[in-house]
Amino acid sequence: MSAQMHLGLFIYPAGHHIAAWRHRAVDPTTIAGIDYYRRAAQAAERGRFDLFFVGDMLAAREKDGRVVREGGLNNIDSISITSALSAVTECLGLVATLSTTYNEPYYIAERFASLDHISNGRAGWNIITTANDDAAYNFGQKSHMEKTRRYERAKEFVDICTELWNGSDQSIDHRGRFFSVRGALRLPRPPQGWPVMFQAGGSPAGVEFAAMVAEAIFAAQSRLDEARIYRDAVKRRMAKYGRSPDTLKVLPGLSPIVASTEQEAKHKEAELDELILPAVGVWMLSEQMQFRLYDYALDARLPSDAIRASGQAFSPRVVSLMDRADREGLTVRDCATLVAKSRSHGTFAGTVEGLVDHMQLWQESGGCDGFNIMPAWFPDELDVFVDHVVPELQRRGLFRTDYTGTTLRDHLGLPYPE
Amino acid sequence: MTLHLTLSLAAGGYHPGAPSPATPDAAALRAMARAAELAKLDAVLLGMPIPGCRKTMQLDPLPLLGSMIGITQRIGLAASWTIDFTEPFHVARVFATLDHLCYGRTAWFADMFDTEPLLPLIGKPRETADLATYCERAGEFIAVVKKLWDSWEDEGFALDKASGMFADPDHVHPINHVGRFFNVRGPLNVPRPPQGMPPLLLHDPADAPSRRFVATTADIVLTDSVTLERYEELRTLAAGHDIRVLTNLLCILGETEAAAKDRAAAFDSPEPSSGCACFVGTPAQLVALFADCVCDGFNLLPAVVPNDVELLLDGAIPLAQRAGLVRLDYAGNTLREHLGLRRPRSQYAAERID
Repeated sequence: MSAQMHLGLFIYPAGHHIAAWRHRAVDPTTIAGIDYYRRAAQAAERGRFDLFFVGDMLAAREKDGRVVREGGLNNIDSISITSALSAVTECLGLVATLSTTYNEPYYIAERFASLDHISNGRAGWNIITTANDDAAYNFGQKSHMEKTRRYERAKEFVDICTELWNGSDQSIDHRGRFFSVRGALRLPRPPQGWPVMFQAGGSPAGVEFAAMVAEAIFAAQSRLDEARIYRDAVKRRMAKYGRSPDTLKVLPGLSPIVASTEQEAKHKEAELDELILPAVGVWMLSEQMQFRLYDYALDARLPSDAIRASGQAFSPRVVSLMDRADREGLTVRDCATLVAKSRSHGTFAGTVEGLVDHMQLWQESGGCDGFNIMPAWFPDELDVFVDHVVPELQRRGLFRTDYTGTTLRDHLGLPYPE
Repeated sequence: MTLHLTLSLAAGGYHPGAPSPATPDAAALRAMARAAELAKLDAVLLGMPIPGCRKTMQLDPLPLLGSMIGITQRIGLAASWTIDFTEPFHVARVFATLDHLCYGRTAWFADMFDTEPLLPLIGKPRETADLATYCERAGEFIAVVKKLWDSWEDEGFALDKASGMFADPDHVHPINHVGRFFNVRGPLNVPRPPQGMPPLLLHDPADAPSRRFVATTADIVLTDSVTLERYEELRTLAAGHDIRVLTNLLCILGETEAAAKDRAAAFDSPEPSSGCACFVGTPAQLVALFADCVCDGFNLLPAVVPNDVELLLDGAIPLAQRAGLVRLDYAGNTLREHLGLRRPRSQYAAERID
C-alpha cells in the first residue's frame, strides 16, 4: 500500500466558489469573525486534517479604480487567523501566507517563530512573492518587482529566516544583495526547528524555488496527466539541491461538491453556478490572463489567439484553460464560469465513492501526495466532507484515523531540520 | 467616574530584575488574559516596551494577541507594532483583521522613539534622524493607516444577496495617498473594522513638540507622569480630541507592606531609573492610590508574572470594585465602549455629507 494521503483545508470567506456568499445556506455577515474560522478549524480537526491553510493578498479586488461590486473578499490577514486558531485547536497544522516582496526577514522570522511556539509546533509558512501591480501600489511601488528578481529576493529572505531560526539566540551576520541582518532572534528555537515551508507558484521560477526550499506545495492542477508531469518535474529537480523527493509533499487544490447521488450533486453544483454573475467571472478571467475581456461578447468563443498575442507570461493554469477552451470550443461565459467556480483548481461533483475513487486514483498514480480541500461553501460542504468523505478514505486505508504526532511536521511525515 | 485599568503582560515581568523565563510560555500569558477579563479590566497590553525594562525572550505580540481572541469574550486586546520598519498597509490590514476576529476589541500601540536595538536586525537606517522629521513621518504613517481603515465605509460591506452586490463601489474608496514618506493607493482589502478605528495608543514623550503630536493623534496616552499638571497639559494639547490618559505603574505587591518591601529589595537590579513610577505595597494600599488618581486610570505593569498579576487581580481589583472605583461588569462589547470612546464615522462618509 502506498503512503497515506495528506489533507489540508483551505479556508476562504464564504467559500471557494465565487458566488458562495449568495448561497442560501451562507450568512456572509459572519465571514470575518473568530466563530467562522473556529467552526471550520474544529471541523477539520474532527476530520483529522493535516492542516488549515490561509492565503494572502495585499490589494483589494478592483477594476478600473473601483472595488469589484460582485467580487467577494479574499482572505483577511492569515497570521492573525492562524494565531487565533492556535488556542482553540489541538493538533491541526496552521499554515499562513506571507510575501517576501513586501516584508523584512527579521519580522517574518520572529512572527513565524512565535506562531510555532504559541501553537506548540504547528506552524507552516506559505512563501509567496506577490506578483500583482495592485499590491505594489499599496507599498509605494510603481509596478511589481520583476519575476527573477522577486525569486532571488525570496531565496535570500528564506535563507536569513532559516539562519535566524537555526541560531535562535546566536547572532547572525548576513550581508547579501537584498538584505543585511545582524543579530539574533529574541526567542528559543521554534519547536519544529522551522515552520513547514509551503510554496504555491507553478511557473518555471516557482518550480525551481520549490525544488530548493519547499516542503509542501499547494499546486493548481486540475488534470491528472498534467499533475503527474508537474510533480515529477519538481521532485526530480530536488536532487540538484541535494534533497530527497520524500521531503516534499504536493497537494493540489480540490473543490468538491458531494451528495448521495450523482444527480443530486450536479443539482447542488448547478444551483450554485446559477448565482454567478457573469461580470465577476469575466473580471476574474481578465485578472488571471492580464487581458481585458470586458468588451467581448459573453457568448463569443474565448479569444485565445488575441490573448496569446498579448505577450504576457501566462501561469500554467491560464495556459491550461486556454488549451481547454480551444479544444472544447468554450465561450467567454464558459471560461468565466469555470474560473469563478474554482479559481482554476480541480473540481469534482458527485458521490462520496466517486470522489474517493478520484482522490485515490490521483494519489496512487503519482499525481499528488494529498489535497488542499477547497469547500465550495462553508461550513456545510466542509461538514459533508468531514462526515462522509473522510470516513470512506479511512475505510480504504487512505487516510489516518487519528493523529499520531502533535506537530505539522509529524502529520506530513517531514524531517525536523538539523 | 470609574477608572480605566489596563494590564501589561510580558513573559517574566516588567521589573528589570524579574527572573528571565526559559521559554515563552504563551499558555501562561493566555491564562493571565482570562484572569484579567474575570477582573473586568479594560484591556491587556502586549509588547509594551517600557524604558529600562528587559526586552529579551518575548513573543511577537501580534500572534500572541491573536491567540487570546478565541479564549476571551469582552476584554480589550492591545499589541505594539513599531512604525519604524514596516508599511502602513500591513498595520492597517493586520489590525483590521484582528478587530474583526474579536468583534471589536483590539487596539494598536504604535511603538515609537525607542527602536534603536532593532536597527541592525532590519539592516536599514531609520529614515528620519531628527525628531521633527521623525514625528512628521509617524504622523503620516498613522494618517495612512486611518485612511485605510476608513476606506470601506460601513455601507461598503453591502452583502446584498438579491442583487449580487457584495461590495458597494460607491462606499469603498481608493485613498490615493501621496505624501512625503508614503504613497499608498488603497483601498484596504478588509472591510471597516468593527470599532471603525481600533483605538490608537501612544506613549507620552519627554519633549513638548512630540507631546502635542501624541495628544492630538492618540486615543489613549500612556504617561510615566503622575501629576495633574501633565494630565491637564495633555488634555489641553488634545484640543477637544477625546483622549484617555493612563499612568504607567510598575507594581511590586505583597500581602503585607513588609513583604512587598522585601520583594522589592530582593531584586538584583534596582528599579528602573528612567521610566515609570514604581509602587511597592499591599493591594489595599494600591487601591488607596487608585482613589487619588489624577488622570483616567492606570496601565499596570506587574513586576513579576504571575505573582504580581495574581495579587493585582485577586487582591486589589475586588477591593477597588467594592470601593466603586472600577466596573463590576462590562457594559459594552467593544474596547471603545469600555473606554467610553465613540465609534468614529469614516472620513470618506463625512466628506460626502460636507
